[in-house]
Amino acid sequence: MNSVAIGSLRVTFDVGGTFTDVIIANGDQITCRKILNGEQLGAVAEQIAAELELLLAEEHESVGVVHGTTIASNAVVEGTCAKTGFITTQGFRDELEIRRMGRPGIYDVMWQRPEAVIPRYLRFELDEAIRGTGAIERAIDEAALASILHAFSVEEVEAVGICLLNSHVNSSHEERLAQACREAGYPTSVSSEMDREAGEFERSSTTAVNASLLPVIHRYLDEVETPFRRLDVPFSLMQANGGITTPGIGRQMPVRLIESGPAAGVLGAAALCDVLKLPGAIAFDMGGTTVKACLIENGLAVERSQFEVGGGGNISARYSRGGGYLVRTPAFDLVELGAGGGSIVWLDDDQVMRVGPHSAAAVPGPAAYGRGGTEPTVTDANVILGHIADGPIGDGTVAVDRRLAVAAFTDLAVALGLTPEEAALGAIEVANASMIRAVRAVSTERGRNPADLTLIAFGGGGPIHAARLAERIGIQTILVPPIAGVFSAVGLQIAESRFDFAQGLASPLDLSRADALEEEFLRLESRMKADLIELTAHNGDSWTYERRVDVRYVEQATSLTAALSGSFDAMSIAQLKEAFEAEHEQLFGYRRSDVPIEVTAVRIRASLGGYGVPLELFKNASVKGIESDHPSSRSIYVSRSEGRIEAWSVPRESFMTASSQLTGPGVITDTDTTIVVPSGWNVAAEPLTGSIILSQTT
Amino acid sequence: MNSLNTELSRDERKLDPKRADRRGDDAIRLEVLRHELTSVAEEMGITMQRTARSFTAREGGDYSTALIGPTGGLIAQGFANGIHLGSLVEIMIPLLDKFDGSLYEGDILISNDPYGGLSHLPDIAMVMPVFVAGELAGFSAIDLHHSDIGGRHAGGMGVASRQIFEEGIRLPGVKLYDRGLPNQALLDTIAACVRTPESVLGDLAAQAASCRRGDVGLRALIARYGLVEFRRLAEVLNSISEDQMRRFIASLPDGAYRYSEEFEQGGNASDNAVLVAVEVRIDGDRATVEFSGSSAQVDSAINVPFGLTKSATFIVFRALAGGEIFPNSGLIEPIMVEAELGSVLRPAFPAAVGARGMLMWRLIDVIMRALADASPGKVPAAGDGGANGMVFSGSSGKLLVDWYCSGWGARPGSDGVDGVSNIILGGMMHSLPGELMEQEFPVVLESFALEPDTEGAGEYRGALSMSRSWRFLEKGTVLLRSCRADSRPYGLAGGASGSPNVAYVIRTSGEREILKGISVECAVEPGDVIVHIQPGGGGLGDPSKRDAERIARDLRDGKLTVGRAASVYGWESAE
Repeated sequence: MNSVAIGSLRVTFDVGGTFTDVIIANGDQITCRKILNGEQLGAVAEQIAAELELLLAEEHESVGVVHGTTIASNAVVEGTCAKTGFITTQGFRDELEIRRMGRPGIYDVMWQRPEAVIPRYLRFELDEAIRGTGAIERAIDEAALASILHAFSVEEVEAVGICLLNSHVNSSHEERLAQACREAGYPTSVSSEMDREAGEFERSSTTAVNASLLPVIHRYLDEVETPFRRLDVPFSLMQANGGITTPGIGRQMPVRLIESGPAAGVLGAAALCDVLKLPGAIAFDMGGTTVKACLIENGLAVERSQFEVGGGGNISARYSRGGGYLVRTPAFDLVELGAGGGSIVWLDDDQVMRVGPHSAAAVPGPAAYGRGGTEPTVTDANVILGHIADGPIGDGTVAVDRRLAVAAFTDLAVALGLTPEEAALGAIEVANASMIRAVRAVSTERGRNPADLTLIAFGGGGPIHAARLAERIGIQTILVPPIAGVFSAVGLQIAESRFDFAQGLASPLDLSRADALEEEFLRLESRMKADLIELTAHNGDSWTYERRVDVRYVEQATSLTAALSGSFDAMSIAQLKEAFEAEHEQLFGYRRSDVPIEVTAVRIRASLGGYGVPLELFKNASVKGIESDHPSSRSIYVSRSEGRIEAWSVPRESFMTASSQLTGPGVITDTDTTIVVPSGWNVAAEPLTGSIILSQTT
Repeated sequence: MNSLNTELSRDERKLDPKRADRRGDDAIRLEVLRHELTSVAEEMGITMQRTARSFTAREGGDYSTALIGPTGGLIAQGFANGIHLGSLVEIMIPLLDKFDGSLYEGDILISNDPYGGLSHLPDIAMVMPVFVAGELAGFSAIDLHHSDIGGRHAGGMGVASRQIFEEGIRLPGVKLYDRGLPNQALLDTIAACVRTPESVLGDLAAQAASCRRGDVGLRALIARYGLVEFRRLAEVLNSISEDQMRRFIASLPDGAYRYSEEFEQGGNASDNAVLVAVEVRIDGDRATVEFSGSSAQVDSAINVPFGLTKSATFIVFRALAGGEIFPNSGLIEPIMVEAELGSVLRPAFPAAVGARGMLMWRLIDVIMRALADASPGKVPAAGDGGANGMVFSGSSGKLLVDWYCSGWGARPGSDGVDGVSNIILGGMMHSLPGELMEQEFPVVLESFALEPDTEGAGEYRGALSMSRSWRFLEKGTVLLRSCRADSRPYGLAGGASGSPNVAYVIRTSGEREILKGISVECAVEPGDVIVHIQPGGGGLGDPSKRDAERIARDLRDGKLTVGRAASVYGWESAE
């Protein structure tokens, strides 16, 4: 295990909508702060590098920089990917557009499908055929290949994606194409290098999205990584699977960086569960534009093998699909709703209050921020109620002005015959009701009752909303981690290297096939080791390798992933079967022990194990902010019957040192967030991780 | 999220002082309750999807969950195949009648009776009464399409049946659970009658779990609000949806709007074409939709049970009204549906109904077309007509059921979507990838592609035809289902019809045979290829007014050839 703390230096920076969150862990000294994003991210990187250079004057056992970026997600959602060519098998040119025919919103006859990531005129079919057995039915038509390459050069594409039918079984044709495209000078993504599992749409989409991100990520990293390269400091990137990776892999597989921001927060929450030995929890991350929820079981976040980028923020879109861009890459299985603090509060034609899906987002932001927003938002409601105090926030360049929030709510309140406080309280109730849907969905999907779980609340809005949300669900306990407002950045600090490799196949899970299956693993391992050596600076010996196998009952639609200990033999196969059946029973409620089991993929996860920086180091951390007064009480509007009350207000730091117990109503203030403790709740310090525990008084 | 709906609702945000008559508290409570009700119904859907056994149930998305009031009105809907919207309400009428005073905690009723509100035998509904302090407070309900229901056709959807007795086991609305105890005799009987007993029993268990989830959720909600307040709020939500539907109907000019189309044939090859005729009468904020003039019921299984006819009508109105109308009984209140008993849209017992889906699609197109006259420029042109599928029974016993769609007709202000699941229905339907098909079946998917120049031309064009072709590696029989080979998908307001359905088999000798008919059987030998070119969507508006940029983009994308651009759109090349 490689969790060295003292003597090591890790600098992380996580780019958000408005601010970049920077944490420096220098031995056991933690400093956190926020930098307002300028036009040029390179400038922010330069600034951080300059600071790092000063620290490098001292000796450190190890030094590392970790970066969390939304560049890949944003490029896909905003359609700013590079002009990219695509080659596929004859007959399948339109798959990237058709997807698998699904669409969200059953009644929406005016639905507009998002444009294919690569337009039709840049998608080319090639005459060649490989069967599912791996047999070559028709060789590549070289003349056709030459004319495709000519077309690419005429169109001046910046990158090329390649996905041929059945290439997960036999990649020789793809290799030939890749060679030709790379020789012609195109950055090229090839499905068999990305994703070796069956399902041509999923592979095509992943490859196409990846290819079209190559030039984007190259330009981006050239700008952001360079200052650190100059210092000769290892630079890593956060991935959606909760691990970090090298810029080499980031440049080759930018899809792995999509949704990495939310993953970092979930990783932090999972680490919290791991340290505190919590069997089941829900990570609840509320930011300015979205709300994320993810189930954590026994210290591990639930994972999924694919997800849609920009697929629309509701529960049923998760099932209907088709509203976004599918990528098949290991990721935490989180639900993301467009219900963040920036969500706009409005009245519909029937005078019913609605929250979202429109958002004031980072620009212009909530009205109270005084940056041009005039429409009332959830954040404004929190300002009116006293959950968010007046005064400067972030790096001090933005200040909250309660009067602006009240002004924004006035029309709406008057229309309803309510006071601004009453309308604001209503807005919070509506917002909570929509968020509860997400929390319930992630639990029910795994057969869990959310009332049995702990809520881990973070993000700027999480600790504000958590208690009311928990009451409605029946959750008894809430944990708010240290520096909860920038907890995703903590995720970058604790993340370790993690690389996932997979090979799809179709084989009975049977002792007679043990040798053949073992062979598949060995082939995958040698491919993986070659990649690791090529793409990472790490010495391959220190890695931990986890073998996992996708298995299902024959004829079943979806597989489950279970761990394999050691090689395929009678004992490990029996263990694998039992692990699969137990998981199947938990998820689906039954076993089918009389039905044969088959293997659909073998997977290896290579990781350095442990945590980059232990979570415990952050227990006393705080975000460097603007010095402001800490009044000992705060006026909070709690309910229509009680109205405004003077509640106690304690800064987080003094609460932790006093290690006392308090009973709501009150607030614990922290930079970037407020922990709202309503009446009916006790609050106590959790010394090991520096978290704050809220529990319902029974 | 980036749909036109978003734009519409942005405008809806403007305050209208005239409507400021809702009490402040309700403005908040109603929206909170909407989320809470939807959450319960969603959890029912997740529970079903999670615990179901069959591929149909877990991947087909052909199910609906609902919460229903004590008198049978819909309160809320979860994951839904829209077509069940009316069915779950329709079945409540006979069930409430039959079980008046004899419902108990822990009961679960089951029915699949097309003559009791449902749509065909494979769709099985379960309804669980929800009690609060001993009082009947409502029902949780789920309707699911099962993989088989017995009868002469595997899957229960064959066209050739002449009476419902041929179509499988019929459950007329009975207790599957009596005060929590399963009716084992009934379960054993169902298992003995179907081809896939394990799947069907597994899926029934999943449905029961889903009902119980709904029961727990609904009881928790009522406990918090109190029964009286809960009922009042549900009533208000109902009246809001009703108001929204009334506003939509009132926006249509008063009058009678008629349309009719011939459906290719009655199902059995010898039958004559079937006429689907509708008259929509708009009178202020009420609509009457009457199907008199439609053909008499036929001796095949394409008859549409009346509950489904109503459902289809309601969802057309729901879809065209746009916005986000909360799905409850309020929205069907202003719409009256009438059809003569004994007609193809309201067949009399014991007509067969297993393949009702084929005519249902046409029914939707016909209602939409009639409403297009009432609301010119606001209704989409016809799409692919639905109901396309290929079933391959190989000599080795493998059975491949492959469902797919083509695309949508042109919409006001935008082209029809190419290559997507059917408009109004089927959002949760997904195509089977070729690689998975090849892994499991002796069938190679040769292409899945958009066909250039097949759109219904218009200022806004319809979708291109989507073709699907398969090569068979073993001897077997193919059953191909299709429609709109003769009556092409209509265009609107000067827009052209979409291209017709075409299917053929290419023998290894190179010889081609056309496959014609809504349900055609074809024996295949190894190496034979079947090509199914589905219909293209109809266009909307005068093609000569089509925006040059749209033409240029289709030309660039190879969706349109220069020759057709010139002849149909009057395109003049820049060179």
